[in-house]
Amino acid sequence: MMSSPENKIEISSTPDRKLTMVEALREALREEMRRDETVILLGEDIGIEGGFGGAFTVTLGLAEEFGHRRVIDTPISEAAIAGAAIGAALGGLRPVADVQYGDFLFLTMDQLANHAAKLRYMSGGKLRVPMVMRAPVGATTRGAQHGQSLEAFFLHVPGLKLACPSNPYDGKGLLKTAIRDDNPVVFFEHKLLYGSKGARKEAGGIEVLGFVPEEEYLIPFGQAKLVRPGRDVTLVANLLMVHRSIQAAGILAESGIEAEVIDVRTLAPFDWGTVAESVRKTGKLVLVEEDNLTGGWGAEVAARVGESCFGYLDAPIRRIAAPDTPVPFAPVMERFYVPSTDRIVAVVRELAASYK
Amino acid sequence: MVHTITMPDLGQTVSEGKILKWLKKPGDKVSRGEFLLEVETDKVTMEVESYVSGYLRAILIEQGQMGSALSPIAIVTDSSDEPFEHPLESAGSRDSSAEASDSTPSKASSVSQKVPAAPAAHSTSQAAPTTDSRAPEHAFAHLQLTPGQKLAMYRRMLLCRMFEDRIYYLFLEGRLPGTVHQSQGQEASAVGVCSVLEEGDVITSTHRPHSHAIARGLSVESLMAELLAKKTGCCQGKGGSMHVGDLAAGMLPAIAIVGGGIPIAVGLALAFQILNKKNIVACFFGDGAANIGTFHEGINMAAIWNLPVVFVCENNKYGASTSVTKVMKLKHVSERAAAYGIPGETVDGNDVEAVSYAMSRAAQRAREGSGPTLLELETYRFAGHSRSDPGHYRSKQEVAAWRERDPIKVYESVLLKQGHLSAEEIDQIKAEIDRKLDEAIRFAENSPSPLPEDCLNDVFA
Repeated sequence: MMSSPENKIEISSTPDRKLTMVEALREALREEMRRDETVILLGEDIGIEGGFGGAFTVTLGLAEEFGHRRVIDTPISEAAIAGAAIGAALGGLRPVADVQYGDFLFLTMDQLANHAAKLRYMSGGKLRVPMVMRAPVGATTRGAQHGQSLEAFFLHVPGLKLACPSNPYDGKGLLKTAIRDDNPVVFFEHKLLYGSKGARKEAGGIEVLGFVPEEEYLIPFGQAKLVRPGRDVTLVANLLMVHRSIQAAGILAESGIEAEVIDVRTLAPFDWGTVAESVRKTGKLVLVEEDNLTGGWGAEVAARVGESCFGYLDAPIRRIAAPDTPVPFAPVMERFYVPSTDRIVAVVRELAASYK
Repeated sequence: MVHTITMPDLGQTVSEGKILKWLKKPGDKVSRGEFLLEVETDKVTMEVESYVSGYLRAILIEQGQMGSALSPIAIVTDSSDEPFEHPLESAGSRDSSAEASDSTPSKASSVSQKVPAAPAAHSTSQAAPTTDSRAPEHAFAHLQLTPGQKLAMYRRMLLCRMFEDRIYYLFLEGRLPGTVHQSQGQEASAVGVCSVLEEGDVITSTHRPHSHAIARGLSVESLMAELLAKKTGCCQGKGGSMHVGDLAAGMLPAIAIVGGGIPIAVGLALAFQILNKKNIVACFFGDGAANIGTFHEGINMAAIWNLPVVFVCENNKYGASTSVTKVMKLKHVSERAAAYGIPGETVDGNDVEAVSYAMSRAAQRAREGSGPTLLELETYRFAGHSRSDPGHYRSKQEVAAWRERDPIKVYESVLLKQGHLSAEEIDQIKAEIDRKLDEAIRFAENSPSPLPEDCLNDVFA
C-alpha cells in the first residue's frame, strides 16, 4: 500500500491488472449475473441503449450482454424500485437495485427500513430478502440534495447490512458477497472514488486504481482491513476518508507519529475485534467520517469503544466529521465542510501533544 | 327422481330474464353440464347448463317469455318414463308424485350459470369511466361457480366472521394482547378474491388481515396462536395481528404500513414473470392507500411491465375515521386505472359471487400476461377502525343500511333460495366452525409463549 498525491492513489503494488472502482463493480455484477441467472438489475437509466449505464456508468454494457429482461430500466419511482426489489427477492430472485444518488434513499426509507429490514423478523425467521440497494454518496459540488453521506441512517436499522468500499478490489469482492447474501444490503459507493471516465468523470475525483485479479474472490462482511500499521494512534475511516486518513498518516509519519489506519469496509456487521485490538495497542482513537457529526456512525463506534476499551484509552476519543449543516455547494465551502487530510493531521497532532 | 330446473339467480340487481332459446326439447336426454337454454337480461346473455343428468320432460316457460329469478322453468326426471306432475297442466289432479312439484328449489334441481359476456353480470357500477381501458369481454367466457364452490365460499366467509367475533371477545376478556383491526362485513371481498387463486399464488395484505389469511387458507390454529402471542403462531409471536401470514401458504406476512405492500406485490409479480411461473399476486389494500405515493409508483410499474398482479382495493369507505369522499375527488378508486392504461372495475364487494367473477377475469388477464387490473370492491367494516374506535363518525342509519347488506346474510339467503343450503345445514356448519374455533383457542392458549430472549433471533438470515 502506498499513497501519492490525492488525485492519484494506487492501492496495490502488483501492477498486472488495474481497474477503476466503476470497472470493478461492473465486473462484480457481470460475474454474478453470469454465475446466477436469478440476479437482476433494477434502476433508472441503467440499460437504455445509447444511454450511460446508470448515473455513474457502473452498468454500462450489461443490458447488451444480459438483455432488458434482467437489466430493467425503471420509472423514476424510488419507493417502488426498492419495494419491487424486496418483492422480487421474496419471489426467488437476487435483485441489485440502485438509486442515482444516495440522497434518494430517503424516498425508499419505508421500503428499506419497514419492510426489507423487518420481513424476516416479522415472519418468525421464515423469509429471506436477498437484495442489494446500491447508492452513490459523498459531497461532489452538487450541493445539499446530491452529496450526502447516509450510512448512519441505515446503521440504526436492525436487519440491514451496510457495505462501504474504499477501493476497486474491496468494491468487487464486497459487491459479490452482497449479491450472494440472503439479507438486504445497502451498498454505499463514493462518487469521488468511481474513476468514471469521459463525460461522467467526476470533477475532483481521485483516480483510485487497484489490483483486481482475474480469478474469483469474495470479501466477507464484518472484516475491517488494517491498511497501514502504526503504534501511536488508531484512525478508523470508510470510503473517501480512508484515503485522506492514509495521506494524513504519511504526513504524520514525517514528524514521528505512527498512525494505524483501519478501513471498516462494512459498517453492519462491524468488525469490533479489529478496532478494539488496535485501540488496545495505540491507546488513542480518531474516527473519520464524511457524515454529519451528530449521530454519525463514528458516534456509535466511540460509544462502544468507550464501553469496552476504557482502560486502554489514554486520550479522549475524537471524531472528525462534517459539521451539522446540509452539504454546501460552493467549492470553497465544500472543501471546508468535508474532513480534509489537513484536519486529520491537525487533530492527531493535537492529541499526540496533549496526551503523551 | 324429479328435478325442477329454475331460472338462475341473475345477480343482485337483476330480477328477471328472457328465455332466448331452448337448446333441448321435451324427451331429450340431458347430461350434467350440458347447455339447456340461453337467457338474456338487460345486462348479459348467458347460456344455462343443467346441473343434473336425466331427461327433459317439460318446459314451463317457452322461448321468448320472461321468467323471474329462481322460478321453475323446466322439469327433468332421472328416467325417461318416470311419472311427474306438470305444474301447468295438472292443477287439481294430484297423483303419487305430487311431492315433485314442490316449488321450493331443492339442491338437486339447481342450475349453474355460465356468463359469456361477463363484467356486467354482478357489477354494481360497471359503467365506470374506465370502460375504454377494459380487456375484451370475450376473454372471460369460462367463468362458472359450482354449487360446491358456492358452499365453500359461504363456509369460508362464515369462518372469517366467527373467527373475528371470537377475537373480539378474547380481546374484551383481556386474553388477547395488543390491538386488532377487524374485518366483519368485508368477508365477501377476501373470500371472493381468494376463491380463484391457485397453489403458488400469493396475496399481500394490510393491517386488517385476518379475513385475508383465513380466505387464503392459513390454519386458524396458527392464526389464533399468533394473535395470542404464542411460539406456535404463524410468525412465532414476532408478527402479531397486523403481520399474520405465511408465504409458503400463499400469503406474505401482512404489511401494516398503508400502501407499503403495493410495490412489494409488484416485485413478487416481477419474480413470477422472470422465472416464467404461471402464478399471480393479489395485492389487497384499502381506500386509504389510494392516496399514497406507492399506489401510483407500484401500479404504474406493474402496468408498464404487464406484471401478473391484481390490485384489490377494498373500499370500505373510511380511512380510519376519514370518509373517502373527503380525501378523493373521484367517485371510484377504479377510475384511477385509466391513468395507468389498465382495466379498472368497481364491484359490489359484499356480493361474494360478483367478487369471485370479477377476480376471475382479472386473474385470467394476469395469468395470460395481459397485465394488472385495478379492482375496487365496495364494502364496509361493521366494527370500528381498531378495537378502541366506537365509530362515532358514522351515522347509525349508515351502519344499519350496510348491515342490511351483510355479505354473509345476503349470500345465505341466496343459497337458501337456490336450494344449496337448508336451515339445518346452516346450524350444522355454524356448530362445526364453533368447534373448530374452540379447538384453535384451546391449542393457542395451551401453546408455549416464546422465551423473552427469542426476541434476539431472526434479524438476519
